[in-house]
Amino acid sequence: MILELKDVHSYYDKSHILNGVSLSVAEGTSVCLLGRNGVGKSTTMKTIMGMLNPKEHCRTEGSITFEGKELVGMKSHSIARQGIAYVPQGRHIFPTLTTEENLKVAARVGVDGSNKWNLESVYDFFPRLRERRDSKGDKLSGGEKQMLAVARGLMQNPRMMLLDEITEGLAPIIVDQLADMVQTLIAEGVTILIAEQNVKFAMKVSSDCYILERGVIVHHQATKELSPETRKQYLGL
Amino acid sequence: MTISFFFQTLISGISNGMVSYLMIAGVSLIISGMSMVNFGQGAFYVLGTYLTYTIAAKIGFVPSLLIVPLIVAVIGYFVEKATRPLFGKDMLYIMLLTYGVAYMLCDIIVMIWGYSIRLLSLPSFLSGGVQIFGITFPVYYIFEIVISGITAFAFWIMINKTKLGMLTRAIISDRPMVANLGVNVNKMFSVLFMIGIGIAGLGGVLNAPVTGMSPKEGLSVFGNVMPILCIGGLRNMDGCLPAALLVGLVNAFGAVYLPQYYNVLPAALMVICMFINPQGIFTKREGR
Ligand SMILES: Nc1ncnc2c1ncn2[C@@H]1O[C@H](COP(=O)(O)OP(=O)(O)O)[C@@H](O)[C@H]1O
Ligand SMILES: [Mg+2]
Repeated sequence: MILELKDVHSYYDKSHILNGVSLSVAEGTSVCLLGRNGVGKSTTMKTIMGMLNPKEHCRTEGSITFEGKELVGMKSHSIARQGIAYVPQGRHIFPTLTTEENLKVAARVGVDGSNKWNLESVYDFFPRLRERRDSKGDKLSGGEKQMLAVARGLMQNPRMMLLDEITEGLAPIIVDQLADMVQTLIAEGVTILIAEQNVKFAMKVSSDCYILERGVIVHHQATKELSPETRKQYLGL
Repeated sequence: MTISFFFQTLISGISNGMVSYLMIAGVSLIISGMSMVNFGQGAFYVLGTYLTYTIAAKIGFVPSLLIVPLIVAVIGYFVEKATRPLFGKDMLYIMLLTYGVAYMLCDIIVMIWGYSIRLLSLPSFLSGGVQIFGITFPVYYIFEIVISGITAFAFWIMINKTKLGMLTRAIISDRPMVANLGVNVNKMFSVLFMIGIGIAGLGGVLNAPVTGMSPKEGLSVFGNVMPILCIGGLRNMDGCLPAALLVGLVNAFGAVYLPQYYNVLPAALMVICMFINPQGIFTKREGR
């Protein structure tokens, strides 16, 4: 297992949000975290990235290991440097930087020294971003911002990507493009943990899924085998 | 006003403005990147001046232009380390803290150099005048403009073209995301602080041969340049240079035409500019 969460508890100040989350992601696979709004998907992602730390008046308990290394207690920037690229919900594109600058600030060789993802290869993967290279981040459309957020993650030559609701607020045609893109990434050997509410999308891009409800994993199954009943019970679909 | 007097006043205004720019550029960088106002910047400027008195005597004035800012930056590094626990706290803490640091620095300057005001004598190639189109200008003014101009250009390149500059601009809008990209933001702050302080130190070096300074001015010079910061825009690094030039020129011509109001001119200009745009008159307004 490249990533393993064991009995993880997370707190924002006094509010206890993650209530003993355990999950694991095998190298080279794509795992999806499903659940309705507010169940703690983003909190799980933030917790992995070390953002729920005492400095932010937050707390994380339990164990999160990445390639056997304990992440709990590590600073966000060190966690990223283990080879984890985080694409947060809401994209968090730097608004005053151009597309190209947004990519350049993230550029880094991988932990293994690989530089497969650089400005050129990322532009080849997202030709639209090449066209928009000189536009400021806040001038991009929602779909372009999302591509840029993923592209910025790739510029870190990561071993693993955390994708948080990348389909949110996007037109179906763009969601289909994103699904193709994630499938290509999986084929290229990138390990992915994805948080989603869009089950159709999740079924296209993940092999394994965990369903989260009020900070607890309530279901774990191969994504393709999710029954309509399960989906109805936990996801209201 | 004769043509030659006009141009002489112009050049003196520009050179004064450029030296003020050196002090304010660092403040602006620190505000933008680190969201803290270093009220103590003036002390580093004066420290630059005093270090120059000693170091220029040993290695000459021109090498001091490089060495002194480096020393000031290294001192800044330790100051930043020592004060970091209070970063991100209330602005009042930051104000008291940075003033406190300035007080200590000024006292240390007094301990080392005493109270007597000195003036560095210029190396011969920088003293005297130079004739341009038949008008005589002090060589040193031209020299100040060139050195500050190079620094301003380097600073612009740093902000707009280097990864450090991009990251600085990124931090302004979304600091946690910068950390999530694998950037050690604290380390970056150290570097930004050192650059900001170092540039102020350079301003101090350039000032050493011009005005004699008392160590305690480390506490007050910041007040003199504060209007520049407000005119240019607190969070607009590109506004510093035009604002500093504007204030320099207003000061120079004000001294000629309105000598009785000389001291209030920058403040009055600041008030007018802040009515025009509180974000700074050299700041582009959103959506216009
Ligand atoms: N910064 C925060 N401070 C306090 N509570 C928060 C914060 N962010 C999220 N929460 C709470 O944590 C719970 C889980 O939120 P989140 O992880 O964003 O859910 P999801 O991503 O599954 O929609 C919600 O109840 C939300 O109100
Ligand atoms: Mg979420």
